[in-house]
Amino acid sequence: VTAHLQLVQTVPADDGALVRALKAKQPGAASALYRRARPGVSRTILRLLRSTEEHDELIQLVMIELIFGIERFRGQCSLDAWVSVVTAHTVFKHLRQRRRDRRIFSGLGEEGSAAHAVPAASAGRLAVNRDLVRRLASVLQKVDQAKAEVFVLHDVHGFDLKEVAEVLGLTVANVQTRLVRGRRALHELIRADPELVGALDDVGEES
Amino acid sequence: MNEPDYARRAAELLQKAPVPEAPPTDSDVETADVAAMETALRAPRPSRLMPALKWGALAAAVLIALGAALWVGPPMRRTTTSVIASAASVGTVAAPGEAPRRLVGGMALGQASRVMTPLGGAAELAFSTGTRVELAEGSELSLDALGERQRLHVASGRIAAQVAHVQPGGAFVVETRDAEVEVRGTRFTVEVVPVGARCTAATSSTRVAVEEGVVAVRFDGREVTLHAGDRWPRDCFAAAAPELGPQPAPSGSSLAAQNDLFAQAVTLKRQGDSAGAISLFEHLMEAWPQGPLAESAEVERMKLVAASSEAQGAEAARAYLGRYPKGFARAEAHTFAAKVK
Repeated sequence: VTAHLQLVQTVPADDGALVRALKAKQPGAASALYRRARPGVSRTILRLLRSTEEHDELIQLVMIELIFGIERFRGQCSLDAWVSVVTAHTVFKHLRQRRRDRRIFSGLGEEGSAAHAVPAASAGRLAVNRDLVRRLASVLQKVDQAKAEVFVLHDVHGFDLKEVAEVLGLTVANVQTRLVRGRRALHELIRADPELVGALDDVGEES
Repeated sequence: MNEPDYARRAAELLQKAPVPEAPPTDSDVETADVAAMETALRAPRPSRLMPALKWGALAAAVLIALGAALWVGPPMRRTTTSVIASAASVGTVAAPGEAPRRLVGGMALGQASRVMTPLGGAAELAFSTGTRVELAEGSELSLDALGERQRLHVASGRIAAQVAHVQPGGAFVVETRDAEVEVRGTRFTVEVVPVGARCTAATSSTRVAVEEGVVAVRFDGREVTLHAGDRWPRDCFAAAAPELGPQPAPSGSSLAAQNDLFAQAVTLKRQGDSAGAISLFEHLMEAWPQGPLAESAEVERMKLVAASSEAQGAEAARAYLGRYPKGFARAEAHTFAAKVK
Protein backbone atom coordinates (compact mmCIF):
# COMPACT_ATOMS: atom_id res chain seq x y z
CA VAL A 1 0.00 0.00 0.00
CA THR A 2 2.82 2.34 0.88
CA ALA A 3 4.52 1.75 -2.43
CA HIS A 4 1.29 2.45 -4.25
CA LEU A 5 0.76 5.71 -2.40
CA GLN A 6 4.31 6.81 -3.14
CA LEU A 7 3.82 6.01 -6.80
CA VAL A 8 0.69 8.12 -6.97
CA GLN A 9 2.41 11.01 -5.27
CA THR A 10 5.24 11.05 -7.80
CA VAL A 11 2.90 11.53 -10.77
CA PRO A 12 3.49 15.04 -12.09
CA ALA A 13 0.50 17.31 -11.63
CA ASP A 14 0.34 18.59 -15.21
CA ASP A 15 1.85 18.04 -18.63
CA GLY A 16 4.50 20.70 -18.10
CA ALA A 17 5.64 19.04 -14.91
CA LEU A 18 5.63 15.66 -16.63
CA VAL A 19 7.80 16.94 -19.47
CA ARG A 20 10.23 18.53 -17.00
CA ALA A 21 10.36 15.28 -15.02
CA LEU A 22 11.15 13.35 -18.19
CA LYS A 23 13.86 15.75 -19.24
CA ALA A 24 15.36 15.48 -15.76
CA LYS A 25 15.10 11.67 -16.04
CA GLN A 26 13.28 11.53 -12.72
CA PRO A 27 12.31 8.11 -11.37
CA GLY A 28 8.73 7.27 -12.26
CA ALA A 29 8.58 9.78 -15.12
CA ALA A 30 8.57 7.06 -17.79
CA SER A 31 5.77 5.25 -16.03
CA ALA A 32 3.79 8.49 -15.69
CA LEU A 33 4.22 9.24 -19.40
CA TYR A 34 3.08 5.73 -20.22
CA ARG A 35 -0.12 6.13 -18.22
CA ARG A 36 -0.69 9.63 -19.54
CA ALA A 37 -0.05 8.89 -23.23
CA ARG A 38 -1.04 5.27 -23.75
CA PRO A 39 -4.77 5.79 -24.35
CA GLY A 40 -4.09 8.45 -26.97
CA VAL A 41 -1.34 6.43 -28.61
CA SER A 42 -3.59 3.38 -28.75
CA ARG A 43 -6.46 5.39 -30.25
CA THR A 44 -4.22 6.92 -32.91
CA ILE A 45 -2.74 3.55 -33.88
CA LEU A 46 -6.17 1.97 -34.21
CA ARG A 47 -7.54 4.98 -36.06
CA LEU A 48 -4.68 4.91 -38.57
CA LEU A 49 -4.56 1.16 -39.14
CA ARG A 50 -8.19 0.18 -38.41
CA SER A 51 -6.68 -3.04 -37.22
CA THR A 52 -5.41 -4.44 -33.93
CA GLU A 53 -2.55 -6.22 -35.66
CA GLU A 54 0.82 -5.10 -34.23
CA HIS A 55 -1.00 -2.77 -31.82
CA ASP A 56 1.06 -3.74 -28.78
CA GLU A 57 4.37 -3.72 -30.66
CA LEU A 58 3.61 -0.27 -32.03
CA ILE A 59 2.69 1.03 -28.58
CA GLN A 60 6.18 0.10 -27.36
CA LEU A 61 7.88 1.63 -30.39
CA VAL A 62 5.93 4.86 -29.96
CA MET A 63 6.68 5.04 -26.24
CA ILE A 64 10.41 4.73 -26.90
CA GLU A 65 10.17 7.37 -29.64
CA LEU A 66 8.43 9.67 -27.16
CA ILE A 67 11.26 9.19 -24.69
CA PHE A 68 13.90 9.84 -27.35
CA GLY A 69 12.02 12.84 -28.66
CA ILE A 70 11.10 14.52 -25.39
CA GLU A 71 14.18 16.76 -25.52
CA ARG A 72 12.82 18.25 -28.74
CA PHE A 73 9.39 18.96 -27.28
CA ARG A 74 9.31 22.66 -26.43
CA GLY A 75 5.62 23.04 -25.65
CA GLN A 76 4.92 24.51 -29.08
CA CYS A 77 1.70 22.47 -29.10
CA SER A 78 -0.23 20.42 -26.56
CA LEU A 79 1.29 17.19 -25.32
CA ASP A 80 -1.64 15.31 -26.87
CA ALA A 81 -1.01 16.83 -30.29
CA TRP A 82 2.69 16.06 -30.09
CA VAL A 83 2.01 12.48 -29.01
CA SER A 84 -0.42 12.10 -31.89
CA VAL A 85 2.15 13.32 -34.44
CA VAL A 86 4.91 11.11 -33.01
CA THR A 87 2.53 8.14 -33.07
CA ALA A 88 1.56 8.71 -36.69
CA HIS A 89 5.21 9.18 -37.64
CA THR A 90 6.14 5.91 -35.93
CA VAL A 91 3.26 3.98 -37.49
CA PHE A 92 4.10 5.14 -41.00
CA LYS A 93 7.81 4.51 -40.52
CA HIS A 94 7.04 1.06 -39.18
CA LEU A 95 4.81 0.21 -42.14
CA ARG A 96 7.50 1.23 -44.59
CA GLN A 97 10.17 -0.74 -42.78
CA ARG A 98 8.06 -3.86 -42.78
CA ARG A 99 8.38 -3.93 -46.57
CA ARG A 100 5.27 -5.94 -46.98
CA ASP A 101 2.00 -5.13 -48.48
CA ARG A 102 0.66 -3.47 -45.38
CA ARG A 103 -1.16 -0.36 -46.37
CA ILE A 104 -3.08 2.24 -44.54
CA PHE A 105 -6.65 1.13 -43.96
CA SER A 106 -5.66 -2.47 -44.64
CA GLY A 107 -7.63 -3.50 -41.55
CA LEU A 108 -10.89 -2.64 -43.26
CA GLY A 109 -10.78 -5.91 -45.11
CA GLU A 110 -10.83 -7.93 -41.90
CA GLU A 111 -13.97 -9.81 -41.10
CA GLY A 112 -15.93 -8.25 -38.30
CA SER A 113 -13.86 -5.10 -38.16
CA ALA A 114 -16.80 -3.09 -39.46
CA ALA A 115 -19.16 -4.24 -36.74
CA HIS A 116 -19.42 -0.78 -35.20
CA ALA A 117 -19.78 1.22 -38.40
CA VAL A 118 -22.21 4.11 -38.46
CA PRO A 119 -23.91 3.38 -35.14
CA ALA A 120 -27.22 5.05 -35.95
CA ALA A 121 -27.71 3.33 -39.28
CA SER A 122 -30.06 0.48 -39.91
CA ALA A 123 -28.66 -3.00 -40.53
CA GLY A 124 -29.15 -2.70 -44.29
CA ARG A 125 -27.59 0.75 -44.42
CA LEU A 126 -24.75 -0.51 -42.25
CA ALA A 127 -23.97 -3.30 -44.68
CA VAL A 128 -24.02 -0.91 -47.63
CA ASN A 129 -21.69 1.55 -45.91
CA ARG A 130 -19.37 -1.23 -44.80
CA ASP A 131 -19.10 -2.50 -48.34
CA LEU A 132 -18.60 1.02 -49.65
CA VAL A 133 -15.82 1.73 -47.18
CA ARG A 134 -14.07 -1.47 -48.21
CA ARG A 135 -14.35 -0.57 -51.86
CA LEU A 136 -13.02 2.90 -51.20
CA ALA A 137 -10.12 1.47 -49.27
CA SER A 138 -9.45 -0.80 -52.22
CA VAL A 139 -9.53 2.15 -54.66
CA LEU A 140 -7.23 4.08 -52.35
CA GLN A 141 -4.65 1.31 -52.68
CA LYS A 142 -4.42 2.15 -56.38
CA VAL A 143 -3.42 5.73 -55.67
CA ASP A 144 0.31 6.32 -55.46
CA GLN A 145 1.08 5.51 -51.83
CA ALA A 146 2.97 8.74 -51.17
CA LYS A 147 -0.06 10.77 -52.20
CA ALA A 148 -2.55 8.42 -50.54
CA GLU A 149 -0.72 8.77 -47.21
CA VAL A 150 -1.05 12.54 -47.33
CA PHE A 151 -4.71 12.33 -48.31
CA VAL A 152 -5.50 9.92 -45.48
CA LEU A 153 -3.62 11.87 -42.83
CA HIS A 154 -5.06 15.24 -43.83
CA ASP A 155 -8.54 14.61 -45.19
CA VAL A 156 -9.50 11.51 -43.24
CA HIS A 157 -7.66 11.88 -39.94
CA GLY A 158 -7.64 15.65 -39.71
CA PHE A 159 -3.93 16.32 -39.26
CA ASP A 160 -3.09 19.81 -40.48
CA LEU A 161 -0.51 20.36 -43.24
CA LYS A 162 2.30 21.12 -40.82
CA GLU A 163 1.57 18.01 -38.79
CA VAL A 164 1.44 15.84 -41.91
CA ALA A 165 4.79 17.31 -42.92
CA GLU A 166 6.25 16.32 -39.54
CA VAL A 167 4.73 12.85 -39.68
CA LEU A 168 6.10 12.10 -43.13
CA GLY A 169 9.30 14.12 -42.96
CA LEU A 170 8.29 16.40 -45.86
CA THR A 171 8.03 20.12 -46.41
CA VAL A 172 4.63 21.72 -46.10
CA ALA A 173 4.79 22.68 -49.79
CA ASN A 174 5.47 19.08 -50.71
CA VAL A 175 2.55 17.93 -48.59
CA GLN A 176 0.31 20.47 -50.30
CA THR A 177 1.33 19.21 -53.74
CA ARG A 178 0.82 15.58 -52.83
CA LEU A 179 -2.54 16.35 -51.28
CA VAL A 180 -3.84 18.07 -54.40
CA ARG A 181 -2.57 15.30 -56.65
CA GLY A 182 -3.80 12.57 -54.32
CA ARG A 183 -7.28 14.04 -54.20
CA ARG A 184 -7.32 14.38 -57.97
CA ALA A 185 -6.10 10.81 -58.51
CA LEU A 186 -8.71 9.44 -56.12
CA HIS A 187 -11.45 11.49 -57.71
CA GLU A 188 -10.54 10.18 -61.17
CA LEU A 189 -10.38 6.57 -60.01
CA ILE A 190 -13.79 6.85 -58.39
CA ARG A 191 -15.24 8.61 -61.44
CA ALA A 192 -14.07 5.71 -63.59
CA ASP A 193 -16.18 3.30 -61.51
CA PRO A 194 -19.87 4.00 -62.25
CA GLU A 195 -21.08 1.68 -59.50
CA LEU A 196 -18.97 3.47 -56.92
CA VAL A 197 -20.09 6.84 -58.21
CA GLY A 198 -23.72 5.76 -57.85
CA ALA A 199 -23.15 4.54 -54.31
CA LEU A 200 -21.36 7.74 -53.31
CA ASP A 201 -24.08 9.83 -54.92
CA ASP A 202 -26.67 7.93 -52.88
CA VAL A 203 -24.72 8.54 -49.68
CA GLY A 204 -24.32 12.21 -50.63
CA GLU A 205 -28.05 12.62 -51.13
CA GLU A 206 -28.88 10.87 -47.86
CA SER A 207 -26.51 13.08 -45.92
CA MET B 1 -24.28 21.20 -62.83
CA ASN B 2 -20.96 20.94 -60.99
CA GLU B 3 -19.52 17.46 -60.60
CA PRO B 4 -19.42 16.25 -56.99
CA ASP B 5 -16.03 16.14 -55.30
CA TYR B 6 -15.70 12.38 -54.93
CA ALA B 7 -12.43 12.58 -53.03
CA ARG B 8 -14.13 14.71 -50.36
CA ARG B 9 -17.09 12.31 -50.20
CA ALA B 10 -14.67 9.39 -49.91
CA ALA B 11 -12.85 11.14 -47.06
CA GLU B 12 -16.12 11.76 -45.22
CA LEU B 13 -17.09 8.14 -45.53
CA LEU B 14 -13.67 6.85 -44.53
CA GLN B 15 -13.83 9.03 -41.43
CA LYS B 16 -16.82 6.94 -40.39
CA ALA B 17 -15.02 3.66 -40.99
CA PRO B 18 -15.07 1.50 -37.89
CA VAL B 19 -12.22 1.78 -35.45
CA PRO B 20 -11.61 -1.55 -33.69
CA GLU B 21 -11.65 -1.65 -29.95
CA ALA B 22 -8.28 -1.63 -28.26
CA PRO B 23 -7.07 -5.08 -27.27
CA PRO B 24 -7.27 -5.75 -23.54
CA THR B 25 -4.25 -4.45 -21.70
CA ASP B 26 -1.84 -7.01 -20.35
CA SER B 27 -0.05 -6.03 -17.16
CA ASP B 28 3.06 -7.99 -18.20
CA VAL B 29 3.19 -6.11 -21.49
CA GLU B 30 2.72 -2.81 -19.68
CA THR B 31 5.50 -3.63 -17.28
CA ALA B 32 7.79 -4.53 -20.17
CA ASP B 33 6.86 -1.32 -22.00
CA VAL B 34 7.60 0.86 -19.00
CA ALA B 35 10.87 -1.00 -18.42
CA ALA B 36 11.84 -0.34 -22.04
CA MET B 37 10.98 3.34 -21.62
CA GLU B 38 13.01 3.62 -18.45
CA THR B 39 15.95 1.99 -20.21
CA ALA B 40 15.58 4.46 -23.07
CA LEU B 41 15.30 7.35 -20.63
CA ARG B 42 18.52 6.38 -18.90
CA ALA B 43 20.37 5.66 -22.15
CA PRO B 44 22.85 8.38 -23.13
CA ARG B 45 21.51 10.57 -25.88
CA PRO B 46 23.27 12.50 -28.61
CA SER B 47 24.47 15.79 -27.22
CA ARG B 48 23.25 18.85 -29.06
CA LEU B 49 25.31 21.82 -30.05
CA MET B 50 25.28 24.17 -27.14
CA PRO B 51 25.14 27.95 -27.22
CA ALA B 52 28.57 29.48 -27.65
CA LEU B 53 29.00 30.58 -24.06
CA LYS B 54 28.07 27.26 -22.56
CA TRP B 55 30.20 25.53 -25.17
CA GLY B 56 33.17 27.69 -24.33
CA ALA B 57 32.74 27.09 -20.62
CA LEU B 58 32.53 23.37 -21.18
CA ALA B 59 35.58 23.42 -23.42
CA ALA B 60 37.52 25.32 -20.77
CA ALA B 61 36.49 22.83 -18.11
CA VAL B 62 37.56 19.94 -20.26
CA LEU B 63 40.85 21.61 -21.06
CA ILE B 64 41.58 22.11 -17.39
CA ALA B 65 40.77 18.52 -16.72
CA LEU B 66 42.66 16.98 -19.56
CA GLY B 67 45.42 19.44 -20.16
CA ALA B 68 47.15 20.13 -23.40
CA ALA B 69 46.70 16.57 -24.62
CA LEU B 70 43.26 17.58 -25.83
CA TRP B 71 44.73 19.80 -28.49
CA VAL B 72 45.86 16.77 -30.42
CA GLY B 73 42.91 14.63 -29.38
CA PRO B 74 39.63 13.97 -31.14
CA PRO B 75 37.18 16.76 -32.07
CA MET B 76 35.46 18.21 -29.02
CA ARG B 77 31.87 17.68 -30.15
CA ARG B 78 31.32 14.10 -29.10
CA THR B 79 28.18 12.11 -29.53
CA THR B 80 27.10 8.84 -28.08
CA THR B 81 24.58 6.75 -29.96
CA SER B 82 22.29 4.54 -27.94
CA VAL B 83 21.08 1.22 -29.30
CA ILE B 84 17.98 -0.61 -28.15
CA ALA B 85 16.77 -4.08 -29.08
CA SER B 86 13.24 -4.29 -30.45
CA ALA B 87 10.52 -6.28 -28.77
CA ALA B 88 10.53 -9.09 -31.32
CA SER B 89 14.24 -9.87 -31.01
CA VAL B 90 15.30 -13.46 -30.34
CA GLY B 91 18.94 -13.94 -29.49
CA THR B 92 21.63 -13.25 -26.94
CA VAL B 93 23.89 -10.35 -26.14
CA ALA B 94 27.27 -10.37 -24.44
CA ALA B 95 28.94 -7.32 -22.95
CA PRO B 96 32.75 -7.37 -22.84
CA GLY B 97 33.93 -9.87 -20.26
CA GLU B 98 30.41 -10.99 -19.41
CA ALA B 99 28.46 -14.15 -20.18
CA PRO B 100 25.77 -13.96 -22.88
CA ARG B 101 22.33 -12.88 -21.72
CA ARG B 102 19.00 -13.21 -23.44
CA LEU B 103 18.15 -10.29 -25.69
CA VAL B 104 14.91 -8.67 -24.53
CA GLY B 105 12.88 -5.85 -26.00
CA GLY B 106 13.95 -2.43 -24.75
CA MET B 107 17.38 -3.63 -23.66
CA ALA B 108 20.02 -0.94 -24.15
CA LEU B 109 23.18 -2.26 -25.79
CA GLY B 110 26.46 -0.58 -25.00
CA GLN B 111 29.57 -0.16 -27.05
CA ALA B 112 31.43 -3.43 -27.68
CA SER B 113 28.31 -5.50 -27.11
CA ARG B 114 28.14 -8.65 -29.18
CA VAL B 115 24.70 -9.68 -30.43
CA MET B 116 24.05 -13.22 -31.62
CA THR B 117 20.92 -14.68 -33.17
CA PRO B 118 20.28 -18.41 -33.22
CA LEU B 119 19.21 -20.23 -36.33
CA GLY B 120 15.50 -19.62 -36.58
CA GLY B 121 15.78 -16.35 -34.66
CA ALA B 122 16.25 -12.72 -35.66
CA ALA B 123 16.84 -9.38 -33.98
CA GLU B 124 16.29 -5.75 -34.71
CA LEU B 125 18.34 -2.93 -33.22
CA ALA B 126 17.11 0.67 -33.13
CA PHE B 127 19.77 3.36 -32.95
CA SER B 128 18.97 6.75 -31.44
CA THR B 129 20.09 8.26 -34.75
CA GLY B 130 17.11 6.61 -36.46
CA THR B 131 19.22 3.88 -38.01
CA ARG B 132 17.82 0.38 -37.82
CA VAL B 133 19.75 -2.84 -38.19
CA GLU B 134 18.18 -6.26 -38.60
CA LEU B 135 20.14 -9.39 -37.87
CA ALA B 136 19.05 -12.47 -39.76
CA GLU B 137 19.15 -15.89 -38.18
CA GLY B 138 22.53 -17.29 -37.25
CA SER B 139 24.27 -13.92 -37.24
CA GLU B 140 26.84 -12.35 -34.98
CA LEU B 141 27.34 -8.60 -34.79
CA SER B 142 29.58 -6.47 -32.57
CA LEU B 143 28.90 -2.82 -31.84
CA ASP B 144 32.53 -1.77 -32.01
CA ALA B 145 32.01 2.00 -31.89
CA LEU B 146 28.92 4.03 -31.07
CA GLY B 147 30.21 7.56 -31.23
CA GLU B 148 29.67 9.94 -34.10
CA ARG B 149 31.45 7.32 -36.15
CA GLN B 150 29.49 4.12 -35.70
CA ARG B 151 31.34 0.96 -36.53
CA LEU B 152 29.78 -2.50 -36.57
CA HIS B 153 31.53 -5.80 -37.17
CA VAL B 154 29.70 -8.70 -38.78
CA ALA B 155 31.46 -11.90 -37.78
CA SER B 156 28.94 -14.19 -39.42
CA GLY B 157 25.49 -14.21 -40.94
CA ARG B 158 23.65 -11.30 -42.51
CA ILE B 159 22.51 -7.88 -41.45
CA ALA B 160 20.16 -5.48 -43.21
CA ALA B 161 20.73 -1.84 -42.33
CA GLN B 162 18.57 1.18 -42.91
CA VAL B 163 20.90 4.02 -42.09
CA ALA B 164 19.64 7.45 -41.14
CA HIS B 165 21.41 10.43 -42.66
CA VAL B 166 24.89 10.66 -41.18
CA GLN B 167 25.88 14.09 -39.92
CA PRO B 168 29.02 15.79 -41.27
CA GLY B 169 32.02 14.34 -39.50
CA GLY B 170 30.16 11.14 -38.71
CA ALA B 171 30.17 7.80 -40.42
CA PHE B 172 28.42 4.47 -40.40
CA VAL B 173 30.81 1.64 -41.16
CA VAL B 174 30.20 -2.09 -41.30
CA GLU B 175 33.25 -4.32 -41.19
CA THR B 176 33.63 -7.96 -41.97
CA ARG B 177 36.78 -10.02 -41.68
CA ASP B 178 37.94 -8.94 -45.13
CA ALA B 179 35.94 -5.90 -46.20
CA GLU B 180 34.61 -2.58 -45.01
CA VAL B 181 31.39 -0.90 -46.06
CA GLU B 182 30.84 2.80 -45.42
CA VAL B 183 27.57 4.61 -45.99
CA ARG B 184 25.97 8.01 -45.57
CA GLY B 185 22.28 7.27 -45.28
CA THR B 186 20.97 4.35 -47.23
CA ARG B 187 19.57 0.84 -47.08
CA PHE B 188 21.72 -2.16 -47.74
CA THR B 189 22.62 -5.66 -46.61
CA VAL B 190 25.96 -7.15 -45.68
CA GLU B 191 26.41 -10.89 -45.54
CA VAL B 192 29.37 -13.01 -44.56
CA VAL B 193 29.16 -16.29 -46.43
CA PRO B 194 30.85 -19.51 -45.30
CA VAL B 195 34.22 -20.31 -46.82
CA GLY B 196 32.76 -23.10 -48.95
CA ALA B 197 30.14 -20.76 -50.39
CA ARG B 198 32.61 -18.33 -51.93
CA CYS B 199 32.19 -17.89 -55.63
CA THR B 200 35.21 -18.65 -57.74
CA ALA B 201 35.60 -15.13 -59.09
CA ALA B 202 36.07 -13.38 -55.77
CA THR B 203 38.23 -14.03 -52.78
CA SER B 204 36.05 -12.09 -50.36
CA SER B 205 33.55 -13.83 -48.14
CA THR B 206 31.50 -10.64 -47.94
CA ARG B 207 28.40 -9.91 -49.98
CA VAL B 208 26.84 -6.45 -50.20
CA ALA B 209 23.52 -5.46 -51.74
CA VAL B 210 22.39 -1.83 -51.91
CA GLU B 211 18.69 -0.99 -52.01
CA GLU B 212 18.88 2.79 -51.69
CA GLY B 213 21.59 5.43 -51.72
CA VAL B 214 25.31 4.96 -52.18
CA VAL B 215 27.84 2.89 -50.25
CA ALA B 216 31.59 2.49 -50.56
CA VAL B 217 33.07 -0.98 -50.22
CA ARG B 218 36.75 -1.25 -49.41
CA PHE B 219 38.45 -4.56 -50.02
CA ASP B 220 42.02 -5.57 -50.64
CA GLY B 221 43.20 -1.96 -50.83
CA ARG B 222 40.62 -0.94 -53.42
CA GLU B 223 37.39 1.01 -53.06
CA VAL B 224 34.27 0.37 -55.09
CA THR B 225 31.23 2.64 -55.08
CA LEU B 226 27.87 0.91 -55.21
CA HIS B 227 24.56 2.53 -56.09
CA ALA B 228 20.98 1.43 -55.55
CA GLY B 229 20.44 -1.99 -57.09
CA ASP B 230 24.15 -2.82 -57.16
CA ARG B 231 25.61 -5.93 -55.59
CA TRP B 232 29.17 -6.75 -54.71
CA PRO B 233 31.25 -8.61 -55.71
CA ARG B 234 29.62 -8.26 -59.11
CA ASP B 235 31.11 -11.50 -60.41
CA CYS B 236 29.35 -13.51 -57.75
CA PHE B 237 25.95 -12.24 -58.81
CA ALA B 238 26.35 -12.40 -62.56
CA ALA B 239 24.79 -15.83 -63.01
CA ALA B 240 22.19 -16.08 -60.30
CA ALA B 241 21.78 -13.42 -57.67
CA PRO B 242 21.12 -15.00 -54.31
CA GLU B 243 18.35 -13.47 -52.26
CA LEU B 244 19.92 -11.23 -49.66
CA GLY B 245 16.73 -9.76 -48.30
CA PRO B 246 14.88 -10.94 -45.23
CA GLN B 247 14.22 -14.64 -45.44
CA PRO B 248 11.54 -16.68 -43.73
CA ALA B 249 12.45 -18.78 -40.76
CA PRO B 250 13.59 -22.21 -41.76
CA SER B 251 11.02 -24.94 -41.50
CA GLY B 252 11.05 -28.64 -41.15
CA SER B 253 14.37 -30.03 -42.08
CA SER B 254 17.22 -28.08 -40.54
CA LEU B 255 18.52 -30.33 -37.81
CA ALA B 256 21.60 -28.15 -37.36
CA ALA B 257 19.35 -25.16 -36.70
CA GLN B 258 17.39 -27.06 -34.10
CA ASN B 259 20.55 -28.30 -32.42
CA ASP B 260 21.91 -24.78 -32.31
CA LEU B 261 18.76 -23.33 -30.78
CA PHE B 262 18.47 -26.16 -28.26
CA ALA B 263 22.09 -25.70 -27.24
CA GLN B 264 21.61 -21.97 -26.73
CA ALA B 265 18.55 -22.61 -24.60
CA VAL B 266 20.42 -25.12 -22.46
CA THR B 267 23.28 -22.63 -22.05
CA LEU B 268 20.86 -19.99 -20.78
CA LYS B 269 19.30 -22.54 -18.44
CA ARG B 270 22.70 -23.37 -16.99
CA GLN B 271 23.37 -19.66 -16.52
CA GLY B 272 20.18 -19.40 -14.49
CA ASP B 273 18.28 -17.39 -17.11
CA SER B 274 15.08 -19.43 -16.94
CA ALA B 275 12.99 -16.88 -18.79
CA GLY B 276 15.50 -16.75 -21.62
CA ALA B 277 15.74 -20.52 -21.82
CA ILE B 278 11.95 -20.92 -21.81
CA SER B 279 11.68 -18.37 -24.60
CA LEU B 280 14.16 -20.24 -26.79
CA PHE B 281 12.62 -23.63 -26.05
CA GLU B 282 9.22 -22.22 -27.00
CA HIS B 283 10.70 -20.77 -30.15
CA LEU B 284 12.09 -24.16 -31.10
CA MET B 285 8.73 -25.81 -30.37
CA GLU B 286 6.92 -23.31 -32.56
CA ALA B 287 9.41 -23.35 -35.41
CA TRP B 288 9.80 -27.14 -35.59
CA PRO B 289 6.76 -28.71 -33.92
CA GLN B 290 7.45 -32.03 -35.66
CA GLY B 291 11.21 -31.87 -35.24
CA PRO B 292 13.22 -34.46 -33.33
CA LEU B 293 14.01 -31.99 -30.54
CA ALA B 294 10.48 -30.67 -30.07
CA GLU B 295 9.61 -33.15 -27.32
CA SER B 296 12.88 -32.54 -25.48
CA ALA B 297 12.32 -28.80 -25.72
CA GLU B 298 8.83 -29.17 -24.30
CA VAL B 299 10.12 -31.32 -21.44
CA GLU B 300 12.82 -28.79 -20.60
CA ARG B 301 10.29 -25.99 -20.76
CA MET B 302 7.91 -27.94 -18.51
CA LYS B 303 10.62 -28.44 -15.89
CA LEU B 304 11.62 -24.79 -15.93
CA VAL B 305 8.03 -23.60 -15.68
CA ALA B 306 7.27 -26.06 -12.87
CA ALA B 307 10.27 -24.81 -10.92
CA SER B 308 8.76 -21.34 -10.71
CA SER B 309 5.04 -22.09 -10.46
CA GLU B 310 3.26 -25.33 -9.56
CA ALA B 311 0.08 -24.20 -11.32
CA GLN B 312 1.85 -23.30 -14.54
CA GLY B 313 3.97 -26.42 -14.25
CA ALA B 314 0.84 -28.54 -14.02
CA GLU B 315 -0.58 -26.78 -17.04
CA ALA B 316 2.63 -27.34 -19.01
CA ALA B 317 2.65 -30.99 -17.93
CA ARG B 318 -0.92 -31.53 -19.12
CA ALA B 319 -0.07 -29.93 -22.43
CA TYR B 320 2.93 -32.23 -22.75
CA LEU B 321 0.87 -35.33 -21.90
CA GLY B 322 -1.74 -34.24 -24.41
CA ARG B 323 0.86 -34.15 -27.16
CA TYR B 324 3.01 -37.03 -25.98
CA PRO B 325 0.82 -39.43 -23.95
CA LYS B 326 3.58 -42.03 -24.13
CA GLY B 327 6.43 -39.54 -24.00
CA PHE B 328 9.71 -40.30 -22.26
CA ALA B 329 8.98 -37.78 -19.52
CA ARG B 330 5.38 -38.87 -18.88
CA ALA B 331 6.09 -40.03 -15.30
CA GLU B 332 7.57 -36.65 -14.40
CA ALA B 333 4.71 -34.89 -16.19
CA HIS B 334 2.12 -36.89 -14.20
CA THR B 335 3.89 -35.81 -11.00
CA PHE B 336 3.75 -32.14 -11.99
CA ALA B 337 0.14 -32.44 -13.13
CA ALA B 338 -0.92 -34.14 -9.89
CA LYS B 339 0.33 -31.23 -7.79
CA VAL B 340 -2.52 -28.99 -8.91
CA LYS B 341 -5.88 -30.57 -9.57
